[in-house]
Amino acid sequence: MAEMMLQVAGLTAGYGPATVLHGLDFSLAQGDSMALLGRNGAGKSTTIKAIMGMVRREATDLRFEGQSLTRLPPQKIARLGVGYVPEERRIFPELTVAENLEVGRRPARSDAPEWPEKRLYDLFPELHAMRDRRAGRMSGGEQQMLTIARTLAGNPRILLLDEPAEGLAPVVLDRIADTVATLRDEGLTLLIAEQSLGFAAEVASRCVVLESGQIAHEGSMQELAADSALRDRLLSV
Amino acid sequence: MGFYFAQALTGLASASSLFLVAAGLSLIFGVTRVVNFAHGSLYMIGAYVAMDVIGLFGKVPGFWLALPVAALVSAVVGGLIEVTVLRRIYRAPEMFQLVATFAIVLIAQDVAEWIWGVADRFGPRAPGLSGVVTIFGERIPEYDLFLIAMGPITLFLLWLLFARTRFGVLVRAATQDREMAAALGVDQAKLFTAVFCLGAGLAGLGGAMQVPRDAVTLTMDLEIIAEVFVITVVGGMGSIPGAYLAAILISELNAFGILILPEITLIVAFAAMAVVLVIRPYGLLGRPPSAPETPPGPGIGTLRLPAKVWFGLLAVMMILPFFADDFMTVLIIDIMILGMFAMSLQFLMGPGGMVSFGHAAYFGVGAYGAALLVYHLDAGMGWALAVAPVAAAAAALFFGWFCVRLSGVYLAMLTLAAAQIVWAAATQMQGLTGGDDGITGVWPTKLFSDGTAFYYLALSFAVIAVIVLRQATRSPFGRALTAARDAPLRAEALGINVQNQQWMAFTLAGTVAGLAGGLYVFKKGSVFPDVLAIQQSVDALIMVLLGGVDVLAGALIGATTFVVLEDVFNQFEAWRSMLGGVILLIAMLAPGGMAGLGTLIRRRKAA
Repeated sequence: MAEMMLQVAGLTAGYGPATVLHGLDFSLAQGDSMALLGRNGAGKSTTIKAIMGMVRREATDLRFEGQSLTRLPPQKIARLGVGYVPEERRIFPELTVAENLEVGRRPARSDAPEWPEKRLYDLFPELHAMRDRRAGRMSGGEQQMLTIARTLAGNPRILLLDEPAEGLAPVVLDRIADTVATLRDEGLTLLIAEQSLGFAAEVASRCVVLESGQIAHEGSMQELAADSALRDRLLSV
Repeated sequence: MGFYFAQALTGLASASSLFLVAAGLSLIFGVTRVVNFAHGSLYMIGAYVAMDVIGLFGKVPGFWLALPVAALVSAVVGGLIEVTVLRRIYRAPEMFQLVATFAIVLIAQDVAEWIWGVADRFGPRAPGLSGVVTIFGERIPEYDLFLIAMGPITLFLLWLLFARTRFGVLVRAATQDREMAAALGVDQAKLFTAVFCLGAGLAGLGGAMQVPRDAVTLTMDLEIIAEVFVITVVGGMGSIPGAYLAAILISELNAFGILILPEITLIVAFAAMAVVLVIRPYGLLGRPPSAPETPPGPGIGTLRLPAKVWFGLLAVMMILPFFADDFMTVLIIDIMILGMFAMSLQFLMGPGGMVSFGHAAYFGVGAYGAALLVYHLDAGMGWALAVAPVAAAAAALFFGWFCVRLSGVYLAMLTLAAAQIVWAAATQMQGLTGGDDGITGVWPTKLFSDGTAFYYLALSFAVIAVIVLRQATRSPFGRALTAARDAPLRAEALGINVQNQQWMAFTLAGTVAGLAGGLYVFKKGSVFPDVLAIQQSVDALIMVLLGGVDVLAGALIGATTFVVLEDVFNQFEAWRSMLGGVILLIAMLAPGGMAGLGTLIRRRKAA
């Protein structure tokens, strides 16, 4: 366990008086790619936000590279190398594409690959052409690329993606899935909260399925994709 | 022709200082979402520091040294305020933030008086710019031309800062989505402090720049803040170019308005603001505020006084005069009058969800309505007390129409501006109101000139106020109002006309405040413009804050505490600071007020 990159033990979290997550345990090693699956409201996004310190957490042991995250605010967690790609993109609509990337930029670090501007634009050439455009005036797919690029600009060691496939046209979806798969192949650790099984299967090797804030299943993505009875039991609505 | 040109230049010159102060306020609001009442204090500090620097180094190089030093000192003071106070209340409701920054105003006034004394100071003309130039046959002070240039220069420098630097990009990102910026590793705390320093520095510079034009006084903090509020609302909160446009617009209106309506220039500014807000509710260059990050949940206090507690209280109040001495009776009459005033504000803020920073307007209109009737028409007390709430209702109906078109801090600032109009009218229309000398000799009729009789009169009015406000809160009207407060869009979808409900609530609150104002005149025997001043509005807010905004009874608890505290603190020289300190403590430690404190303790125990 000592070499685990992200360790989550007894994660209990919620909003105001409501508790959404009831003691989750899972962990990711360097280079792992894990999907958080589950029906609507199972607690996928909350898990990601709880790791980032954006929702109320209690009775939790959260560790990143051995360091406890439990008492840290979001900006400190981000600075440790935890890259967060939010749900609904949340680009800064009044800023240009280049300025959005500037907000995400962090100093280079020795323990993670560096993402200078050029490399980001190589990954998403579309963005280069729109450098000076206001982000609010881009399409949903372009915004999704921007939000990933913006987080990569911080040279993260792990990427937490919250519903990256949501609301995207199929052709854009493929494009994003390919890119995320490339990042995985380059060795970036991934944790992806996802509704779409197809997308998750393309980018993740392992999965955790949540049900009412608890882990209902944990295993390999292949196994889940092959077992339709299991899928029906865990994910069908 | 030349005269009008000169007048236009004077307007432009006045606009510069206002723009600097407004830009700072707008900047701080854009990033932190806090309307900084203490911004006027930072402006005042800048002016005094400039005077000191000039005193130390002489006119040359003193004056030119004074500008950067004043900006720097105000920036440091602003940074200290941010770190010690504001940082702790960013998540508190708007009312607490406003009241807490007002507490800083109180403390700053004491400190300024202690350091610089009460005497007004007059600065020297700017060295090298003390002459005049002749344009179109009119003599224009050179310093005015310097001021006129400072506006666009500052605007350009700020534009450079925000468009061309990483700091500027981060500030703009945080303005749009703070939480997201933090999740990307942006240290909000440092950013907020830096923005606060910058905004405060602009205010200080604005203060120093005014030194050659105006006297430096201890009242310049609140004098400028109302005007700056108007400018930021007209320009659009958070928009710096908007602040510049609005500063010019308002200053020009003032420069020319003074030719048409020399007595009440503020009315011109208000009329302009009303027109702008009806056409563009978020100001010339403003945008609708993004949805609050955490929607307002149910209030902290769930304490509801059942009817029998009210009856018990009434019984105690009925027999109290038999045991209390004269001093006590007078104190309790004070509590009842201020309690009615505070309850009307509680109704507006609690069920109505509208924070008013100018509720004194209606208290004062009630007071002046009654006093004017007695003074000019020799009317009896009965007539006067009947007219007081009617006059206040009319004023609330008029100003409310504009105010309910906005919400949150915009509404609060508009109510304050409205109150300042009435205050300005009362001070400037000397023929009618006696100006600063007020109206004296307004005494109750024989029957009520006895303390005990007046006590029962006040008590019966207070009972009426409690019944009216309590029933209004619990009626379908009150429920609809609360629904509109919690979820305006859903309430609209249910067929509730949100603006109309809020307008009615505004008027009702104004009416009750007016009734309290009417009683107040006869208790004091006189009325002065003070009853309309910002301080009076803030007093009511403090009472509501002390008692807890969620329950009607909180206002009474708050009024009681306030009157007692004031009575105790009044013996000390630094009573304003002490009051400010208490407000800060409450805002930081007990955001539910005293009524909420009980709930809070119960919850702690249960947990």
